[in-house]
Formats: sequence, structure tokens, C-alpha cells
Amino acid sequence: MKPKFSIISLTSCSGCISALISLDIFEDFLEKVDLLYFPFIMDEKRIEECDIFLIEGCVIDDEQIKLLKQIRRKARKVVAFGTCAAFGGILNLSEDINGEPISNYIEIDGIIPGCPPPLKILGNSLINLLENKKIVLPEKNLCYDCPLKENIQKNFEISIDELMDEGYKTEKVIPKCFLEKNILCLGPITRAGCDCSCIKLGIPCEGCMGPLKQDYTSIIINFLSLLNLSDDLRKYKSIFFRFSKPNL
Amino acid sequence: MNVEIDLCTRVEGQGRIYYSFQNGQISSVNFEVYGFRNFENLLVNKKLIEVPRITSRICGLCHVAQSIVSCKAIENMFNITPSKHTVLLRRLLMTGDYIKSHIAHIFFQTFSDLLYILREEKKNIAPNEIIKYDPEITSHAFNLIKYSSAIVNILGGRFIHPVTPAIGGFYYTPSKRNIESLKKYFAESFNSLKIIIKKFIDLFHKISPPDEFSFGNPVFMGLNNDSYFDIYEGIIRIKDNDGILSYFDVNKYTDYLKREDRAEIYINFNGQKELFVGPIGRYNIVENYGNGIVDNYLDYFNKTWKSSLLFSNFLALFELLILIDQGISILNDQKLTRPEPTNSTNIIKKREGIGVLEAPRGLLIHDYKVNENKNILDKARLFIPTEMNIPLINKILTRYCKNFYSTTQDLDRMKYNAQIILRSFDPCISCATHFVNKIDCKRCE
Repeated sequence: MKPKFSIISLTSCSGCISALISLDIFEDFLEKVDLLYFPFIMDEKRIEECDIFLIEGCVIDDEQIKLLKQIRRKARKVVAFGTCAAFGGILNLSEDINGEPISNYIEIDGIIPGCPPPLKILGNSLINLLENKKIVLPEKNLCYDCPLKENIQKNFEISIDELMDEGYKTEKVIPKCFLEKNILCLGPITRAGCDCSCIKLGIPCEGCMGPLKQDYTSIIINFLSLLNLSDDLRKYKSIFFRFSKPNL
Repeated sequence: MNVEIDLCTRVEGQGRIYYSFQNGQISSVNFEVYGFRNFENLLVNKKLIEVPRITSRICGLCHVAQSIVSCKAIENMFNITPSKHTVLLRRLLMTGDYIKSHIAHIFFQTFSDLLYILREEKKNIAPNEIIKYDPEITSHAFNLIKYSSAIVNILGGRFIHPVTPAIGGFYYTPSKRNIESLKKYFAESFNSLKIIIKKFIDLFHKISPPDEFSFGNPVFMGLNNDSYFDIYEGIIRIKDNDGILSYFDVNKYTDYLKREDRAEIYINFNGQKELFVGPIGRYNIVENYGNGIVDNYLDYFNKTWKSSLLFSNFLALFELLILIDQGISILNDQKLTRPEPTNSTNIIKKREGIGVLEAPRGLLIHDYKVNENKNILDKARLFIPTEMNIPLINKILTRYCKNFYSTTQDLDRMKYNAQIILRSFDPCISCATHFVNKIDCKRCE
């Protein structure tokens, strides 16, 4: 019997759905599952009992909370698909909307993080779900994979006065840890798994894979205690809210 | 008054169609976007350097357009002219994004509608059936989506939400090896696309689309570069209901584009009128596409076809062919491998900056105001293509449903066909979620 699969978007940009259809196994996936609900590509409007429910997007209103509870009752496994569903995502930058992770309202059986999830992680996660196995994610932070860690000094003082390297304006980007260059990089508090694609281009990590643990607040407090932020940045903490909101 | 609500399917994002009845007849039909995200507010108090990274998250399908239009708006504020190197890379990156956006819409969302309407196939063809309908179309559509991801991944640094577009520059210069890979993906995309176009023409061109899909007489609008089709730069050209062409500069857009307290945008040009942007808008404002292959394809279609909403599927494919063809030439340009320095972004020339380009679904405008000296955004206004099409969508939906319901009283079929009409506009709902709808939204079970 094919596993019964459903996919829904809450408040999102549909980027995770766009990632899903970009997978090289997507055609195969359509054959291997009994797709019950996926409004992006099909007409079904009712939510039925199913084995696996992928939820993209964050929660912003009561209607979605009701819907989530309905999904939880009908689905054997619920997976937070993407950083918005897993951690709240980009809407955490907003001052008038509270974008919350779905786990604030229902029990979840796993996350597939990333904005959007890297294709390799997404593909492997889907295969594991189809085989009724657990999703396996990297359990290290980004620095562990970082190509810039080679020549890093030990115990250096982290003074931060910039958000981004403007490397494209200069001849060459110096291959050196951003934190050593006084540029904020969220690598230390972000889950690995993206192949450091931004860092390889000379752009510091923005944290789109989300934190390693659900307790983002304590992670941020620890990290901030190590940083000597410039006055300008001390007042400007949007980067820490880019994909997840600490409860400070 | 009685209102029926229907959830939109096979579109990007979450939309609803509201059917209002009076005395047992349809009085009006309205398309509403759902899910208030309010990026206009979210951008306030952000550092300019962060803005292009944030705006890409407005949409997971036209992320490249959102990010690059941000760069253009900020460059306008600082009076920066990006280097040729930057412009060429932006064009290539946009082409990569256009491929997935158009192909995903055509293959997963509207192909089954075309089969249902024109080839009398059944309703509700499921995705696992659609992939079996014509294995050749399927394999080339999947290839195009994969090439698109590969192109955006190389040029954007990530396959969705690119990080390379920067204010006044581009965080990446392709190596010779990358250029070879890109050439391969562009060439393969060109071939796959030609096969899909040929198949689509064979399947559909001989059958005239039904009248209810006629888009009537709106005002067409699009970017125009020296009378040619261009997605990156130019002036805004409009074609009024009487067929007369006019131009306006994007810096004057508020004189023409009007929005009140809702998402809908009208054009104010000899009176308030409905706009049509996107592939059909772009096609109607150019004299010709300037591409011989596409001109030949266009000859297959009669006048009824060219005035049908369903024609946008073909135009989207033709646009891709032109863009990929241009991309292949760009990839031979030596300037691509030579980054040039841009002037500094330290001095603000004016406190307002406006950027415009053609997103896959139509003309996109970002308008920013900045806090003096601080490089912090004070105000952002986003003019989204789907918002520009809403008045026309509602007009056509209302016209169709009134007629159909009064003659047949068949509610289910009316709703099904209304969804097809809406879908043929390829609405991008995530992009269009800036305004709270007046109608109290209740999810229909």
C-alpha cells in the first residue's frame, strides 16, 4: 500500500513547495505516494485521514490553529516543512504580525529545516518518511562544516560592527572567519546542512537553517554574551529575528 | 445577500473566490487573497543592505525578481548605475527563475485545464495522471525545472532565495567552468522548451478556445525597451482600450497606478480602468518579440486564440524561448567574467527610490523611502502584478458566472470553470498579501 500523503501551506512564500517540485525524485514521489491533499497542484479541498502531513509556513491566526488541530487528529505523522513551520521564519521580523512555529500548537513528529530546505536534506527526508524511518538531520552547527575555520585564531575577542561583507565591491574576499573580521555571522548558532553555500560566496550565515535546538532563546543569550556588538548593532537586532524569534 | 466561498486550487498561495447571490442570481464574484503578511511594514527600520535578502522571501516563485527590484529601487535612491557585468548576471539569474515559475504553472496547474477544455479530457486530472499523459512533455517539463534550479543555484548561490544580488553589484563572477555548465543548462533548456512548444501547438492550436475566456478590452501594461520585450529595464508602456500606445516613467507611477484601501490596483488613464499585466500584457505592448522562431509559432494562432486568457500559457513558453535565447548570447559575452567596481553607496542622492522590472507574472514596482544619513528604510510600498490584475479578474469572473448561472443554475460547474478562469491569470498570492481583506475570511470546510 502506498503511504497516504498530504501537503498544506499556512502563511508562507511557497518557496518550500517550489523546492519540493524541484527535487529530482519528485516525479518518482508522485508515483510512490497516494497524494490526498496538495492544493498547489491538485483540486481536493477536504482534509482526510493520512499517514504523513507536511506543513509549510508559519501560524498567524486562530483559523490556522483550528486547522492544525484538525490535521493533527487526521494525520499519523506531522512534519514541519521549512524554517517558517519549524521556527516561525521570516515573519518574525514583523512588528505587527506574530509568525509562530506549528509546534507552539500541536505535537510534531519531525522538522525539515531551511529557507527553503537544501535539496539533499529535503530529498533524504522524504525518502526516510516514505520508508517509515526518522528524518536524519546534521546535529552540528555550521562552523563545523565551514571552509573558513581552518586558520581561525583561538579565543579571539568577537567585536561586531558590520552585518554583511561588501566583498563584491573589492577585488578579493579575504578567506577568514567573518567573526574575526568583525562581521556578524550566525554560523555558530545555526544547524549545518546547507554546504555553507552563502559563506563560500563571501556572505556570512544568516541562520536560515534555524537553531539546533528548539530553545532558541538560551542559544541567543549565550551567543550575545560572547559578542561585543557595536552601538549601532546593539539597537538593531533584526538579524537575530530573521528566522526565529527568541522570547526575550 | 447570500455568499458562497470557494478555496482556490492549483494556484500559488491561498486565495478564495466569493460568490454573492441576490434574488437567486449571482450579483458579484470576487477573488480575495488570504494570509496577511504585510512585507511593507516588515521592511520598515531595516538596514538597506539587508533589504534584497528579505524581499526575496515575499515569494518562493518570483524570489529573484523581488530581490533584484529591491536592488534597483535602492540604486535609484543613490543614483547608482550598475555595471554591465552586474546587469548581465541579473538577466541570466532572472531567466533561470522565469523558467521554473512559468513551467511549474503550465505543467502542474493549467495543463489539465487545457486538456479538459480543449481536448474534452475529464475534470480533476490528478498529478500522477498528468505525468502519464504525455511522457515526453513530462520529462522535458521536469528537466526544465531542474535546469532552472541549477541555473539559479550557480548564479544566485542558492536555488531559491538567492544571495548574490546586491545593491550596485553582484556577489559572484562565474568561472570558466561555471560558464560551461550554464551554457549546457541553457542549451538543454532551449531544446526541451522547443519540444514542449511543438507538442502544445499540436495538441491545442486547432481548437478555438471558448468565448468565456476572452479577456475583453483592458489596458495592457508592461516594460518596454526601445519597443522590444525586456524583463529587466525600459520604460512603462501602456496600450489603452482604443489600442493607442503611451509611455510613462516609473518615477511617475503614482500618477497612473491607483490603490485605495484594498489590494486591487487600477490604472488612472482617461478614467479608472482595469489593467492586464503578465505574459498577455507584455505581448500586447510590443510590436513584435523580435525573435524569428517565436514569430513563426505565433502564426499558428488565430484571433480568437490571441484574445483568450488561455493564450497566456503559450506566451509564457514563447517568453522563455526568447529569454533563453538571449541568455545563450549573454553567456558568450566576455564582460561576464570581468567584474567592474561600482560607485560607493555612502551618499544618498534622494530619499526616495523606485525600482521596476517584469516579474514572471507582470510588472513589479518597489518604492522605498529612507531615513536620512542612516541607511534605514522608513517606508516601503510594493506594487505587485497580481494586485494589478485583480480588477480584471473580478470583472471577468462576474461576467462569466452571471451568464452561466442564470442559464444553467449549475453551481458546481460554474465554480469549477471560474477556478479555471482565475488560474489562467496565474495569480501569485503570496506576493499579494499586503492588505487585510474587508470581507471576514472564514475557511470553508
